[in-house]
Amino acid sequence: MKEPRVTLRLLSDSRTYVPGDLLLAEYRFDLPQPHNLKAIESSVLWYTEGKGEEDLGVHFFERKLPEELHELDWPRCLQFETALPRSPLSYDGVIVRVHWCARVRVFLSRGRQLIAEQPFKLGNVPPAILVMHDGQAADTEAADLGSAKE
Amino acid sequence: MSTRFAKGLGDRSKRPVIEGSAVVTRRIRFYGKKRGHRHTGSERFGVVGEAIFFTVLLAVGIAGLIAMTVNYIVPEWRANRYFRPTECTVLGTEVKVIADRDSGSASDKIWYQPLVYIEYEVDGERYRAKTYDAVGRGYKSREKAERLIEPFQPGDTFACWYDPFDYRRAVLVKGYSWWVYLFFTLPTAFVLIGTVGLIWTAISSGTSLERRAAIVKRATGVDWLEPDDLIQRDAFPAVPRHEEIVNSPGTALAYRLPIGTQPGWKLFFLGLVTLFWNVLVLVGLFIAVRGNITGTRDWLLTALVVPFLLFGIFLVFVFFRQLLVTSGIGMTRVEISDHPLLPGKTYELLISQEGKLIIHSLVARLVCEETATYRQGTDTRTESLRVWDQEVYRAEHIEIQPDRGFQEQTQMRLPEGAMHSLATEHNSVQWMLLVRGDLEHWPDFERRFPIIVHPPTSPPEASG
Repeated sequence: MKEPRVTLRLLSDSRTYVPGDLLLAEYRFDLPQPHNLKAIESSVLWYTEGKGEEDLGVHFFERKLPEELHELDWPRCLQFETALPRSPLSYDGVIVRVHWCARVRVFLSRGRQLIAEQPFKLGNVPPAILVMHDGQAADTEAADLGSAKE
Repeated sequence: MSTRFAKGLGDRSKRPVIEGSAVVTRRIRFYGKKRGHRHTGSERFGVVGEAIFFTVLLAVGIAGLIAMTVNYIVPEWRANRYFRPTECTVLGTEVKVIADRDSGSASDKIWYQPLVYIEYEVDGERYRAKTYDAVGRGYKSREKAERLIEPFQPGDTFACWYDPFDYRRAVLVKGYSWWVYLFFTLPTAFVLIGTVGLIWTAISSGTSLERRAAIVKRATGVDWLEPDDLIQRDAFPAVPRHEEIVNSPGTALAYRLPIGTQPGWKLFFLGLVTLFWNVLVLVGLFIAVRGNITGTRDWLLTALVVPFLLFGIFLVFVFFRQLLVTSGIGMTRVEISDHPLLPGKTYELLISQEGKLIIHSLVARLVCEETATYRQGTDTRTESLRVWDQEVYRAEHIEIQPDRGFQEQTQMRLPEGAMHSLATEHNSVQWMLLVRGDLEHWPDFERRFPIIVHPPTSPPEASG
């Protein structure tokens, strides 16, 4: 039997955006049994990763119910767009990292979900290096700590 | 592009979905503390487990409330409101011993209930009852129970109150037991926690992480009291506010930066800790010395008191050192030409130091620290790591007179491509100026001046 699937792509040549850019994404879902569809959520969000607990912020969120989708043919293709905010910028720190992504969740019956996700970068902050003294990285400590990172 | 079923981790997945990767749940650790607020098993089992847990709490709470209401509240309320007065004759007294089989230790098993045999007349008929109060309360102390029935001597006449619906029931003492209402808080708390937990489980089990975050964002997005705060939060999400830093104008430059931790507060808390610790140590020391004098020597206590006493002396030393730093070393002032700061921009800085001091070196550093807060078992831990540390000012061999403070102006450039200040619930990126003084005859000092860095207006090109 054909598996239900959802695909998501960002309609841009680059995966790096600057604040204020318009993010345009397209998702396509194919369900062998369309009546199983309960809802679709599309979102653009940032989350932290690293040593601390994960924090998450939603910049864009949209939830669609099956009755809003009835006029579309299968497989269904939808788009969403949002102007990206000025912060937080993507950041690759030592114990704190900030990631951005576009995400689509398709909710099916019996609690099943399909998820598609596309990461992207907001801004161009270079990766942080452990303790810089006047522009010089403390290489030994950085290496030690880098290996200790999760 | 990626597609997968979100079985297992589902909604509560802490990791992003990686294309082509298998969904792997973490193995449950049977030793050590679980780090972080992470989930180790199936979401469905988690939801069921939570639901069972909160249902049990709710059920226990409701059962407790019912039991307390039926056994204590209603009988006392009825006796106080509806029982009718009459006179009774005491026939005898008794202290009934009640064995509580549910209690843990042997001493907890025995309760003593005061009882008085009385005879009274209602509508021309005589009734006998063995009673005291409305709830038949027992006491841990036999003496107390005996004291309560002592006034009731056989043959004496007392006032009593009988139940108008059951003449065979009567009480000698009316009133309410305040402790019952105190104990009411326990099942009430169970009911509240159970109810809120069940509602939260029901809401969160069918709701994605993003939807919950969107609901929270909408709910917290309206701030009628501080509209400026709302404007800044909307303009720069996850960037801390900078208004508190720019509310003090400088004497030579635009803004005077506030100090991170007021030395006075630091001294106050250090003083409290020192006092508390040393009072405890002195009590221990007194007991140990008295034991030695009276011949009841406790070697373990004596051995423990010594290191505690040494640490107490160390705390006193640290406190007086901090007192010297706070009161003796004059104020450090930092002013800046603009705020918030932007990466790649150059700013004027004014460093000022007061007090009668001979300074070997006065150094200002531009520092960026990452801070992460996480849970390990039941502990909450915070870790900070310095990712930028640059000397922006140095002065050496300065002699400051009390009537004429030292001040000098310099320039500071924020690195190109620097990460902006970040403040989320558990993670932060903090920029600050650290001023450190190496003094003659005085302890060294270090003072922090937080600054806020905003994202660049036009981001630099990608590096490397």
